[in-house]
Amino acid sequence: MISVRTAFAAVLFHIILAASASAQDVTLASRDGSVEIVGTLLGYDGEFYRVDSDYGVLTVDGTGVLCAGPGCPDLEAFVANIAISGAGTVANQLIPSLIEAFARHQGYSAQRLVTSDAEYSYVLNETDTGRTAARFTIRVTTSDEGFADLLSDEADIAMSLREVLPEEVARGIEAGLGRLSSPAQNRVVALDALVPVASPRNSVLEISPEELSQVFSGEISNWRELGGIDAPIVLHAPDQKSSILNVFLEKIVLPAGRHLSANVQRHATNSDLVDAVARDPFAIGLSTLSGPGNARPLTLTGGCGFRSGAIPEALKSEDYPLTTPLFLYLKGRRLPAVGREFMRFTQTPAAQIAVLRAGFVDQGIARTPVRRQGERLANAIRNAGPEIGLTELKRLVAALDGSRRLSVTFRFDDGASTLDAQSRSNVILLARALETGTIGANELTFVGFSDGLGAAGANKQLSRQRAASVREAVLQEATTADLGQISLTVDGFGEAMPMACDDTEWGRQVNRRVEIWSR
Amino acid sequence: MVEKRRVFTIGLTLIAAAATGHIMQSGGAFAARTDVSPPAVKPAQTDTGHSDIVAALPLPLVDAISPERLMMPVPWAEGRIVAAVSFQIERDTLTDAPTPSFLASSCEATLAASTKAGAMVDVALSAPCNPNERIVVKHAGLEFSDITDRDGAYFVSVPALNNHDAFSVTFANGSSVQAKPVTPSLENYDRVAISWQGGGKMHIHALENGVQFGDAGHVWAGFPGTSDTAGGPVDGGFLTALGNPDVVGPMLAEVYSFPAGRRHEDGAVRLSVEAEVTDATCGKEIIGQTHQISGGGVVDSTQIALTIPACDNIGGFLVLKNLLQDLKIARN
Repeated sequence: MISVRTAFAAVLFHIILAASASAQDVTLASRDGSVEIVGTLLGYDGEFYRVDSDYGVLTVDGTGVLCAGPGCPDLEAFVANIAISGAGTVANQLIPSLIEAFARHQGYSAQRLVTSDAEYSYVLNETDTGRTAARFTIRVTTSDEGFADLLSDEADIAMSLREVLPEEVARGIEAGLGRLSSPAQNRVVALDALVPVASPRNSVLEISPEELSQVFSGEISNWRELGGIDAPIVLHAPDQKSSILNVFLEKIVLPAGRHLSANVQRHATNSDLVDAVARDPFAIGLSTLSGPGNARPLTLTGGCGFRSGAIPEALKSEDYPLTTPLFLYLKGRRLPAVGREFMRFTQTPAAQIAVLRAGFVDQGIARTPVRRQGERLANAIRNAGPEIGLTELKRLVAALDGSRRLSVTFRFDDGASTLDAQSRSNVILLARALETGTIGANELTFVGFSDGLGAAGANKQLSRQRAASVREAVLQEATTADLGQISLTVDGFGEAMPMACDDTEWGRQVNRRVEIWSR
Repeated sequence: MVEKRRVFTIGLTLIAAAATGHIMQSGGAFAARTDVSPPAVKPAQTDTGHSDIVAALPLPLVDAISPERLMMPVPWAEGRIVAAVSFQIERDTLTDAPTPSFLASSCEATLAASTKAGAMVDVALSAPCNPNERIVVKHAGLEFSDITDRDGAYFVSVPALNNHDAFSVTFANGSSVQAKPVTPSLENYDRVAISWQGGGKMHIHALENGVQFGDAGHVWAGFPGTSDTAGGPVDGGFLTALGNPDVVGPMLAEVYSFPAGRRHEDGAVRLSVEAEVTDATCGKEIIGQTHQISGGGVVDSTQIALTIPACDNIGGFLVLKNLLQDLKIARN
């Protein structure tokens, strides 16, 4: 108890110190006295000074210099302060679990300080000495506000349910905060998915993305049209600022040339939305896999025999079309050492356990044996015809035989050959697995598939090219992998094994992919 | 519970009266030569009347004297005042050395813990030499304080938080006894608990099956639900309040239990914590812990410090919907 109070005092002292330091001068002199930098101290992260000097803003390694002047920080009492701001789903469900797991992993004791539902913090103390090592302050806002706080220097880490927007990238560059879209400045920390939900008392169990867009634009307004009873559909959606709603609009509604109906009940939180839907047998709502609560998730069908449940494997492989990764974004500036350790921790197996316990899907690589791919094979046979002949099907079956599909799958943004955000994260995941030798296979085949637009021959060639470029990207990242132990090959089957109908953009995007098969 | 609390209050009132009576006699010199710190007795009260000590004594004074001190041998409690207040106190607590109460044959404290339905554990303490004494009950990181009765006995039903941690009772002098029950069938229950020090008014609110506040299925201390200790099936959860708010240095806890695996649909129980802003807690920090377990799994314990809103909000509530993770209920 007493040590906790001391810790608070130490933290408070540091804040006051930091505030007063910012206005005052420091002189940083190299230990031999040969170099001297005079300026205003902008920050000290426990290792590096940031000084606004005559030469501009300089970052100076603290081990090489002595600090003199009233602005110098107390090196002994340094506490790393890390401010995190952004989406409530990440802030409330995931971050507490991650920080507590991180604290246990690093041997810190953690205390959660709560003032309201809008903000809390964690104080991490060294278990043996009781010294406060770090304080994480978490603001519970939205993805938009998280980026705004990052760009205005109010936060060190932004929590987001969406990728950074081009204008936010531009503002970041302007503010000298680096390129937020670069792989070094963001991490996928967990996976979630948008799921349509209905009341458990509703008899409709499935809906296609096309129907979903019709329902939410008001074109379909009665459950009868979805195979249910004759009753009007009541629409429930997250409020305007929700990233989940934006993902839905951008992936499902807008590409179909539709707009969200004005007749929608809005909810500030996902739990409010789900519980309201659960109470009303005629309601339909947009929720997430991590929080369907008392309502029932509806299975997405492809409209022509395909079906996609929001199960963990389908999220990891993005076979489920509405997967929404949870991101952490960083400024192009060093975090204090504890902050860097935390970011590194989020990508470890220990963090994946915390992710699972928080109710999200982790990024651990799963392997599905070919015998569980019957439905995919059936799709391939159904799709066979003049363009995909028996020979090609036999080749596909031979390649699949005895192999396992890794959950790591690579998908591309519209038409182009640029990987989407989750796939870029997958490049790093697969590279790390190769480096640490945890794949447990002798051979990995990068297998390309395409959508069904255009000629089959060209598609086959294109799919193979995409597979080769993904292989190249993984190899570039896996610099320390021992490639004598595992062979990495490339194949392409074009449009031979579709996973969704090609009549919508989202369907084509699901089909354009590079899978990894292991033996 | 009501009966016990009443007895306890009288007990402490008398003890406090005895102490105060003596202080009134000794005056200022007393404070100087003992380790009882002056704030423990309000100066204003030492100036008031003296003959009808028990009646004149305002209740808050009870809180001001720690039971540890009261249970210590009290060399300064000389016969006259004590006898004037109560013979019972003289016999049981205010003598130099602890003496057994009427029924006990030895001073040995024993604790029994037995598992019953609902993954509850009955904890029974017999400590004949520790009557009317503040005790702290501990199990798997959960802690709460209460008081033994005049015979040194104490009984409480505690929801088990795991299968392997013992239950212990710690006395004022730091010694403790413990007991381990037969493994409770914890896998059938999801549990969340919050424990805190200082006696602030805090409650867990559980909304089952998506119901709203005040509906059936809103379980909290004011509507605690029923455990299935009788053996019959119960669909809803139940709340167990632990600890005695009238003990000096109160440590309180609430545990919400939900019987898993009896549902036909997946679902969730929304959990929130409400802390009342009172004149005792406003603007202060309440230190405590949260505990969450599901399916008999590991206890996730988190140290917490809640800052209660400022004193111009007295009567209001700090409502925290995200302090506890909602329970996810999987269909059977």
